[in-house]
Amino acid sequence: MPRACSNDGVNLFDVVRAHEELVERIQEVVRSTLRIHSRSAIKVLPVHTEGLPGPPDVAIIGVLRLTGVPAGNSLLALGLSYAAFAEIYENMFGEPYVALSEDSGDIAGELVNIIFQSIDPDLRELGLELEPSLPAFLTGRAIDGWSQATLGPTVVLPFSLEAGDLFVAIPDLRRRFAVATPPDLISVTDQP
Amino acid sequence: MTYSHIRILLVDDSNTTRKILRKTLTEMGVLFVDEAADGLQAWAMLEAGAASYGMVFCDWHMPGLDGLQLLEKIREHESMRALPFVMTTAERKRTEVERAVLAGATWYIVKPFEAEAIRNVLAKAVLAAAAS
Repeated sequence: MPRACSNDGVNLFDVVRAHEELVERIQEVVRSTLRIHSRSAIKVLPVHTEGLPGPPDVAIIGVLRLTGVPAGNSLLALGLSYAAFAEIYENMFGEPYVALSEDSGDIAGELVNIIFQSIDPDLRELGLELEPSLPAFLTGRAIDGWSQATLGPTVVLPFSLEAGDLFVAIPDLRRRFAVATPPDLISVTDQP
Repeated sequence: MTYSHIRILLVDDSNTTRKILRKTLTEMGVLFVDEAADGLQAWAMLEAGAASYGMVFCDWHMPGLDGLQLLEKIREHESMRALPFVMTTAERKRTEVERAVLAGATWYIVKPFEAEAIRNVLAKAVLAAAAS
């Protein structure tokens, strides 16, 4: 059966198929994480492949910078609205949420770290060995400068809690490889 | 079962995780909870008061001395060889779990953890201490 391979050995067909599985895996991870850390049920909303849907209502973004071969540099991000973040905080600590602080960044960073560690085995199965940076976070004006340009081709997985919305942004593996692999470097080989 | 007598050391570079663990343990009746933000700080606290700690909850990935390195140091130390050590980490690869267990982790809890998982290991540690 003919299969398209990129020059770095990652099979493009596998990337496309695995992309769908990866999205489902992240949705499952976010659902199970928030089942523990939030009061209300979490709804999984339709995936966006063309950036955030409209002006995002985001108060804080937890970010992991991922470096590795062959995906290059990319980011995994978790953005939360103020209301969604407050619901999670209040459920985590049993106390009312007052204002964004360094502690808030630590929470957003820890949540995005849990998401990455949970999907890391799936990424490795794909041949994507990514090293995460220490978690960072964005709030206020820093979020205004956060854009698709920062992330590169990205898929956004939105979710909603009773109180508010959140999203996970991941590299769009299909477009990432399409960009990274010019047509003349794609070869067709026969696999047994 | 009462946990008021046990002294626990929480080791995690995430203030959030330490705070959640402290809250969970306190709600279960644990009165003595100390915190360290990395392995080096934890090692200093353990060396200073090894006899008084009944259990350690420790993250794996931390800057400086990580959880696995701390565990190895503990197991090499005469008076801490049997100290119950719970690896609390988001790392869920089977090979990594095996590494931690081979290094001497008593229990392994994957983040995000539920209070029930903490209660289970706490109960086991208290029962084991009573039996020894």
